[in-house]
Formats: sequence, structure tokens, C-alpha cells
Amino acid sequence: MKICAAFLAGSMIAVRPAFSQRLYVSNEAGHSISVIDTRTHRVIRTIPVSERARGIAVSPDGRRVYVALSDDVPMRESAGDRIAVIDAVSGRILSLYRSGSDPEQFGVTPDGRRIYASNEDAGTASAIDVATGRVIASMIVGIEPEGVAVSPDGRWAYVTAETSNTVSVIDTRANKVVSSFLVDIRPRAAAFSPDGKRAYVSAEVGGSITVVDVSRHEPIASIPLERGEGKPVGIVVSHDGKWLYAANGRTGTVSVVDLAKHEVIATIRVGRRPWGIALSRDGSTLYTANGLSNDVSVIDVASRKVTATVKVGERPWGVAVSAR
Amino acid sequence: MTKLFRPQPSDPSSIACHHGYRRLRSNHDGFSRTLFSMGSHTFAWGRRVGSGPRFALSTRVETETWSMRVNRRAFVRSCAGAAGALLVPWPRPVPTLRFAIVQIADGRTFGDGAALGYAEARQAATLFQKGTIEAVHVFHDALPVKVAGIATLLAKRGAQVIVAGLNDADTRTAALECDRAGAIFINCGARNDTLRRETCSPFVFHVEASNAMYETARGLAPAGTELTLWSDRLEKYGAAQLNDRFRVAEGAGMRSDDWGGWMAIKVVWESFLRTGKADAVSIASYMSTDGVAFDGHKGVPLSFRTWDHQLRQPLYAVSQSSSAPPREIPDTSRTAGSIRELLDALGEGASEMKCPR
Repeated sequence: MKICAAFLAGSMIAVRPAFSQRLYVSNEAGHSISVIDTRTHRVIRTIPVSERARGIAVSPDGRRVYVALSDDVPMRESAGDRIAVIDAVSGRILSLYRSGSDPEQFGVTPDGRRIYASNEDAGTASAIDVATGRVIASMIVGIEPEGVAVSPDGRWAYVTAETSNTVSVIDTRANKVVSSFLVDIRPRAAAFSPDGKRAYVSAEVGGSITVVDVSRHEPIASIPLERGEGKPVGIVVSHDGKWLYAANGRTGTVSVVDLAKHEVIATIRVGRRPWGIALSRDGSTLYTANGLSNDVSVIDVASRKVTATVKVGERPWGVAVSAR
Repeated sequence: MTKLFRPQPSDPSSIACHHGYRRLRSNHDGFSRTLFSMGSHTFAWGRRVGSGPRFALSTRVETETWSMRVNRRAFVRSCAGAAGALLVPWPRPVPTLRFAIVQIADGRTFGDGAALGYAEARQAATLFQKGTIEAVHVFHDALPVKVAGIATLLAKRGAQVIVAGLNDADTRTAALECDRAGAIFINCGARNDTLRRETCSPFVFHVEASNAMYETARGLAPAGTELTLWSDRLEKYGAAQLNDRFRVAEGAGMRSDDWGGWMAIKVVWESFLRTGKADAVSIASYMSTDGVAFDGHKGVPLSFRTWDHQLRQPLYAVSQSSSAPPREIPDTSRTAGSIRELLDALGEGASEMKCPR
């Protein structure tokens, strides 16, 4: 008993200073969230949720995990359509925010006070006040809205729409759509550069990344992936803004894009149908959620090699990294 | 009998109003009608049900009259919308894209898909302040009438695009009329290969697959399957979302012809928004540009072949006896090479199809 206690205490001391990051993976068909310890690459907890879990993000203060849940009732908001608020440490579901119909992806403002969510089947985006959990605005965007990204200064929310091939620009001060622009066909995710000057939009069927000048809300270039045969869905920009990593769902690869040259410089084979992609806080490791192989690929950024594969729930969709 | 999607003002999430259209059905005088009211625009067609005198194909179907008959409030709303539009100052004239949708009895029934396409076209256009989209008129009837003259008339009335689901002979007539009138003709009904050679024109496009495409695909398809452009059982690549939207709007699964009507309208409104031009020459030229592709929820880029303006697309082998998922023909997920080349294996190649353009 004593030995055991001593061992426990020892291990706690050993572990605590290097508190490892956690990965949160939404399992769309599994109706659950897998929590992975990034040091051991083990699933340390599985949090059941009531519905299809898709978009997932950690609050800027790292205390909460938000997950978009939607049921199969098309075209209207129903009880299953919610954003779940999960305590990042205990894994307990703290509340279920209303979010409009069929929430798919969302972005959190850098101050952590607001969430912008796309309502896929309603053709709208909803602004949610985090303090009250209430929908404070609903805006008409393109048809079949999907990806949401909030600019680093919190001023703009970009919402992509898959059928209309558009990005709607929401001014977060007014909660109004102030501009729209066309991108390559079937846009999925959007991401801003760390300086907020550029945004990038993946086009799944177009097989490209559209580069957007944020000051004018206008596309300025298109980067073909894998000679146009890439099928980018999730994208993430490196913390220094030099690289973009795109998860090509249909080809089971991650394209590494040099953002200075607008060129693909490497392609990494991962699991089957990677959609969600996230970068560790130190920028050394990439993670993809592989929907058809039901696992997460762990990629070493420096060597561009998959170093581990972690089994998760059924049809993993998105992946988010904890704040520390 | 009546199906409505009405926004609940108290609920901010419902303002989308399901892509902005309301749908009503009425068969009070023996015609089953569908009516879409979108702001100041109303879009309607009817289908003769039951027996009795047949509904003559008319160019005088005034949609407002219909809406008054069907629903007075919808009409009032339409007028209010029109009055509101007049009060808003508009900085400069905007290009207006005008569609006409033509369908008669022995053609293919694609009208419901075209309706969804039209509603989505209008919704997409509202995102941009550089153009508007209108439907000139819609012919939808159970009567095989003479099509001759219809396309010419529609073009004279300002339709830049005529989307039609007609038989081979009527497709030929209407397509040649469009060629002469300088209006875009999109064939959603005829599969005939000879017709494609005869109507070869910068303005004529085919969304329906050719017989040659179906024949090639037949050799690759399992026995006991029907070859289609679409199936309401498809799920991947956004197919589930399109099928859901259609089911909610129309109360039925999206059939192959519905997809054709929807797609025909989508390629046009997308070309219109991308070029910012509403004239037939600009739109037709964009649609046939090598490298321009469209998304039809089939997971691969769809484009028109430069040599015959046939839409490059995979077909689906749908089992008639089981609810098995449709099989994509050719299987684009298994190619390491060019999907475009793979799709061109269906139907006639450039060398077989010489277009004297």
C-alpha cells in the first residue's frame, strides 16, 4: 500500500510538470468524443453525446470543448441540434447551447465570447453568445453552409457554402453579412493566416485552395493540390504562417503547401478519408481524423512522417487540440 | 393538399425559410399546381390531373394570376415585395438572367428538380448585388403539342436560357431554334446520339447523358440494375444534403430527371455569377471553356466536353430489386489517374463526334 502510494505520488510529480496536451476527436457515427493523451497516444476517455458529433473546438482559455451536434431531422431546428459545452478536464457536458438547425462547423472568437456556427440545411449562420448560450443573430449565407473561420482579430467570420461555392463575410460587430465572394467548387473549410491578412479556403471537388485577400474580401489566387486531383477538406495554417496543411479526404493524404510559393511541396499518406486536421500548440505535430479507418494519424511535421495511429470511435470527423 | 414552409418570426434560426421559397399546392380546378413565391417573384407551373379537356400550352400563363387564385396573401406579399424593390435605389442597371423551362407530356419530367434549381439560383443571386435571376415562363403540361416556335418566342421574350425536357424530335426543333435565336438550350430529355451531331451549336448543351454513354456504362454495370444520372439513395459527396433539400421541398425522392433539371439550372446560374454577364454568348462561352468545372454533388468535377457539349459525369447503376447503394459507373474512387479521362471513356470521343463549328 505504501509502495503503491509512493509510486502514485511519484508518477504524479513526474507527470504534472509536463502535463501533456489532449486531443479531442468528434466521432460522427459513434456519437462520442474520444479524448487522447498526446504523449502516450492513448484514448484516456470517451465522452458519449446524444447525436452526430461534427465540428469541434477548444475555447481560447482552454477550459471548455465545444462540439456541434446534429440529428437527422432535415431543414428545421430540433432538440438534437445543439452545441455541447464540455469541461475540458472532467469531460462532463456542462450545457447544450441552441445553435440553429443542423450545426456543422463553427468558429470561436479570440476573446471566447462568441461562437459562429453554420447551419448546413437551413442556409444560415448563427451567432451564439457564450455567456448566455443564446442565439443572438441568424444570418442568411450561401447554400449548404459548412466551414467557419473567425479572423485572428475577431472582426470577421468567413462561412463557406458547398452548393453555391461561396464564402459569406460576417462583420462580427454588426452580426451582418457584409460581403460574399465565389471560390472554387465545393468549398469546405476556411482558415486565416496568423497575421489575419490572408484566408484560405479548401475546395473539395475543385481540388484546390483559394487564397483570399482579407482586406478586400477577394480571392487572389488558387493553389491546385495534387495536380487538381486532391480533395481537400480540413485545413490548418502553421503558427508562423509559412505552411498550410490540407487533409485530402478522398485520397487519404495530407498536402503540405508552401504559402510563399503557393506550391505543394510534399504529400503525406495518412488513414482513410481524413477530414479534420489540427496542429499541436508547439507546431511540431499534426493530427488528422480519418473517417473511414476510424483512427487518428499522428504526423511529425519535421520529418513529414506518420509516427502513430490511434484508434478512436466510429467515423471520426473533427479534431481539436487542448490549450496546453 | 397544401404544404407550406413559413418562417416563424420569433425564431431567428428559421429566417432561411428553406432557401427562401414557399411552396403551395392546389388542384381546385383540376390542375395540380406548384407555386414558388420568392419575394416579389412568383414561379409556378401546373400539371393536369384527372380527365377532361387538356390544358393547352400557353405563353400567357401569368404567375401572379395564379398566385392570387391559389393564395391571396402570397400575392399581396409579392406586390409588397415589388413595391419595396422599387423604393430601394439601385446604383446601376444589373444584368438579369432569364430562364425558361419547357417540358411537355412525352418528354421527361424534370420540373420539380428545375424548381429546386431555380429557388437555389435565386438564393445564390441574392448574395451578390450584381445580378438577378428570373424565370420567364414555365411550360409544364400533359399535352403533346407542337414545340415549333416556342423557343423562338421565349427568346424574343428575353429568355437567354431555355432548359427543356423533350423527346428527340422536339429537342431537335427547339435546339435549332435556340441556335438561330442566340439563346442557350440545355437538353435534359433526349439521349439520341444523332441528335447531338445535328444540333451541334455553341448554344446547345446536354445534361442528359447520350445513348453512347449509357451503352458504354451498361458494359460496366452489374446485371439487374438501371442506369441513371442520380438516385435518391446516394449519400456521399453532399448527395444526402441535396436529396434532403429536394425531399423537403417536393415531398419525394429526387429522381434522375429531377437532378438533370436541377443541374442544368445550376450550371447556368453559376456561370452567370462567375462571369457577371447575363448574355447567352458570355454564359455559353464560359460553360464550354476547357478547364471550367461544376459541382453536381457527384464528388468529381463535372464539365462539358468541348467537342459535343455533353456533360462529363459518372452514371449510377441502381439495383431495382434491392435497396443496395447505387454503384458509380465508372468508379472514380479507384483511379489514380485523371478523372476527366476516366469519364471520357463513357460515350463518343472527340474523334467520333465531329462538330462543324
